[in-house]
Amino acid sequence: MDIKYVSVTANSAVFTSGKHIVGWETTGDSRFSFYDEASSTQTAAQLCDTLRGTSYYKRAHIMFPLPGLKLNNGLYITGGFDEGLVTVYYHESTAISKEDILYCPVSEANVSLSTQPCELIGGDIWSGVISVYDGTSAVAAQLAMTLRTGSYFFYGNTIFPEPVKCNNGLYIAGTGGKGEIFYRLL
Amino acid sequence: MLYKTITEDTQISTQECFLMGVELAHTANTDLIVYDQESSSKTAAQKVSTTSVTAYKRHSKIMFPYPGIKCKGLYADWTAGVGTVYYRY
Repeated sequence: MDIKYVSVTANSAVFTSGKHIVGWETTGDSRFSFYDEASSTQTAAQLCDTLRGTSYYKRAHIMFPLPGLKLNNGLYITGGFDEGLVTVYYHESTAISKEDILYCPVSEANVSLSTQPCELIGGDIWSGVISVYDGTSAVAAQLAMTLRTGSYFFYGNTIFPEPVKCNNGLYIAGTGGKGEIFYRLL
Repeated sequence: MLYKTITEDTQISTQECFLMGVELAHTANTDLIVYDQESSSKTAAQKVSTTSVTAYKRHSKIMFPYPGIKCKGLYADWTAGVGTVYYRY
């Protein structure tokens, strides 16, 4: 399997069909949004990742374990291309795998992602705080991951070296936080 | 996996290879840009990775999963600091 790249310099539909994303990096003092879409519709539920640079650090990136983040529809990127660019790393394999990584956008509201056992792959944040629990509600002893932005760096992400088994489901306390959670269903 | 220490503009490979990662350390603003190039030309569309540090963040790295990013060659555009490019054939 060859991992390829494409450099993107303007808002555009980079892919118009499904792909597996291995990662992406951004440059510049601005925010880029990645939509699992073949056009510029920008549906909130299909916001699959967001990266945000700052004047203190004009760069952001995230890499996903293979087979990668599964995009069903394509890829549309929008953001601060007047100051930076985006490089997308991907592969062409369309084989569906139970290892495919799924995304869940978080925009301040709480999300009960699953009541069934899941694997938590990681997450990405560009504003506020996001807490992820192994369960169906916010139980302190079952806090599996916390993401938080700061005053100088407006992005942060975690990809675990191997998935975190969440036997009780996945609950996201997103109050005040914006970003995405990456997971697998078992 | 091989490595190449970068302290100047460097042609890392003139043949097909796989970029595995880049790291950069410095105390002030600088970038290390790696191009998919068999020569020293710097085509925007062949910019594979840009690693940056600032006075606030003095070390940065990006690492790709195996087998790495397939390139027809590798050229590193260096400005300042000490960098390392990891690659394989």
